[in-house]
Amino acid sequence: MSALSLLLAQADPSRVGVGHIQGGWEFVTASYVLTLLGIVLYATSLWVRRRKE
Amino acid sequence: MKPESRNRLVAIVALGLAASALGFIAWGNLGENLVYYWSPSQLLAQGEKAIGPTIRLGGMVQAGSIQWNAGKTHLDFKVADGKEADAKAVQVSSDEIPPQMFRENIGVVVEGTYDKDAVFHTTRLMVNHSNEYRPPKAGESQKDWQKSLLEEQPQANK
Amino acid sequence: MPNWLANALLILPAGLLIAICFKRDLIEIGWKVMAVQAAIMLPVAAYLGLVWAPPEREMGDVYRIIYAHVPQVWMALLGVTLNFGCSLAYLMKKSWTADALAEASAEVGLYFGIVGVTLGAIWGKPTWGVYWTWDPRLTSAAVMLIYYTGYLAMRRFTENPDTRATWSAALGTFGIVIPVTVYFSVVWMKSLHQVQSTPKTVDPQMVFALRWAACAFLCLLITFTYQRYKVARAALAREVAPPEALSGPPPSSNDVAKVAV
Repeated sequence: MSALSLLLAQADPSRVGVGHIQGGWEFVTASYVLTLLGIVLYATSLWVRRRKE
Repeated sequence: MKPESRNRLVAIVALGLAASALGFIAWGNLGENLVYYWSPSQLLAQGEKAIGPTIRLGGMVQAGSIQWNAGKTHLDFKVADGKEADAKAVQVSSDEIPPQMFRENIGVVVEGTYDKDAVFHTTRLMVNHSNEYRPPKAGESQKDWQKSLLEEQPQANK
Repeated sequence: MPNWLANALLILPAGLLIAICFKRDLIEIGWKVMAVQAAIMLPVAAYLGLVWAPPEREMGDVYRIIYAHVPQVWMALLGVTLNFGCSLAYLMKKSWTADALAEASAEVGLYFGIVGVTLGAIWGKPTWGVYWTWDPRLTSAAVMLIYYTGYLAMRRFTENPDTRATWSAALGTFGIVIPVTVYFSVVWMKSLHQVQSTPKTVDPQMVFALRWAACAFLCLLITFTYQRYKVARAALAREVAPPEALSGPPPSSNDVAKVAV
């Protein structure tokens, strides 16, 4: 994600001053994937701890 | 002391400390001592003291002040107290490509140093978003869209 | 989009919480209802946020992070506020239920806080231009994560259940400072982070998608908190009950008896 996102996160040099974001879907995807991953991992940790009892 | 009364004492002490901490954060002069950024007029009022250390300056990008040199990746603009043409402003110089949302009349916070030639050299240019979320208007062309944004008073942070 | 629908979705979790106050046994069915509601609402929330809601004029599609970031930060604040309530309740009247629920809400609040703050950082890069800056909102949020990590570590390393319950309740009571500061930081101090949005400053369609997502995460919060509470309760039963049971005299306190059952 690094090189691409860095490029997309910043303005195309010819468009400085335009004032709105184009693209950036990789940030959105990363957020939703991380949320899903968090839910799965935390639910699993609760399940594992419950089985121990 | 019985455990019950000890626990209640603990509760009173914890609540008291919490209330005083909140009072201090909300009404103490924490804001003045640990200020996140200075406004242009605050920076200018500092005089000589502002020259040298790394500081943050926050305000609005003054209309008509943006000068972008794509070849050298150099950006010059003014950060002003407000939208008015006569608002106090500080000249800012940056060697970075700004975030995409950068435009005239948007709130920015810049991190860097102020020099004796009255130019603020920033190494970190941050654009702030207002608390407004609106869809693009139907049939709004890119140019109209930009115009409508510029006509509105952006919600600068306090 | 009708906002009454978004509000109506709250009836189930809210009604359930009220019903449990009167009839404790309902929680065993209730948490399953919450889990199912979360499982149905979360994928729809993702659809509403990613596809159904319009893009934003300035932030384009990047703003869609709002539907994941904001509800999870809300749940974090709700979790640590619940921790405050349980902590204070424990100090007022010793109860292992309050102690276990305090532990559960702190951990679940911390979990949502870590995800929420991380998502905020991801959102910051394309919008502000930086992942992180030490502005009052971000700093106070970081303090929150550190504080409740410390709270949970303190619980883990204190062996005596009574000492642990009392001192963590003191920390939890004082801890209310943190969510309040996080919430008001943008109002009290100059921040890069914008002030709270209201339905007036947000497009109605976006408000609906956000409310839907918030309700979905609320159901998830209730599910997680109850499951974590059961873990804490079981651990307490192991700690508190056996020595009492083995040492001969019957347990004197009602709370101990409850834990043993």
